Amino acid sequence: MLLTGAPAREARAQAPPDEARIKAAFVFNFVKFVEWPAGAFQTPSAPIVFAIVGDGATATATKLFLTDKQVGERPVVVRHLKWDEPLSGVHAVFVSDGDANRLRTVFSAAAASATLSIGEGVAFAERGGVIALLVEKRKVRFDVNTDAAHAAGLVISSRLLALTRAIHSSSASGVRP
Amino acid sequence: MSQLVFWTLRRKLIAIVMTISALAVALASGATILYDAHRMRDVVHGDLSSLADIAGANSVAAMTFGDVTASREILGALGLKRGLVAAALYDRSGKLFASFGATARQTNGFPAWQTLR
Repeated sequence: MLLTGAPAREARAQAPPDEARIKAAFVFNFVKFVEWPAGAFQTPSAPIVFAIVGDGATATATKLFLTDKQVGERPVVVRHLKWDEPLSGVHAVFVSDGDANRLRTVFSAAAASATLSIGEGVAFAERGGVIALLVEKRKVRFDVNTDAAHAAGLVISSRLLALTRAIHSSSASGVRP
Repeated sequence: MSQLVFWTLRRKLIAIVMTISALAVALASGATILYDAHRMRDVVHGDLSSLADIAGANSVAAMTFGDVTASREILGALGLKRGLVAAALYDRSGKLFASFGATARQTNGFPAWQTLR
């Protein structure tokens, strides 16, 4: 998982950088360890809807990575949304917009519609995002805000929580070594 | 051997009975030892398979996110089982992902995935 191996300059222009691609793979894999509240999916084979808010390398890589993917029986549907659009029917949202006010709007919309919010940087989870991706010692790691997950009615698998860099919660928080 | 001719009938009967009994005991013991060895191997195999399944199931998340450290921690817990000296996790392509225990020198390197199938 080391972010090594620089691609050729020509290739770099088309394909997203390694870091963004790894983060995109993480975003995809997170949903395998999250349980949505009953009623979030109509049928066992109903599609899982991903929304992308904002632009940037990771957003682009995530959109590319998720296209034509499947989670178990569920096909993945990707939508590009604006920060103030409602998140009803969206199961997971990747937010690359860093504006605090906009984030707050997205977070309250996510909590109201049982949407898993994923973003970048420690501040994302501290401000109320569920999962924040970050790079530490050249490795992609992530923080989880369990309060935000709880507020959205999402259950994060303990197996995923065991891998976090830090858990942000009103009851317990701390950075794992 | 020629002395047997001069044995009393009683002595001959005792010798025959003793020989047959000794043979029966030897046969029964041999069968028991073989059965126990076979059974023990099955028990150890079942035991290790269960442990491997548990460690594998617990490592799904760690392997999904490429977390070698977490995988090593999970494998490390296997060290609590006496007699278990080494464990390794292989990814879908058969590449060694994480290992625990005996050094490569002691185990002559972890075996290639293909040889484990």
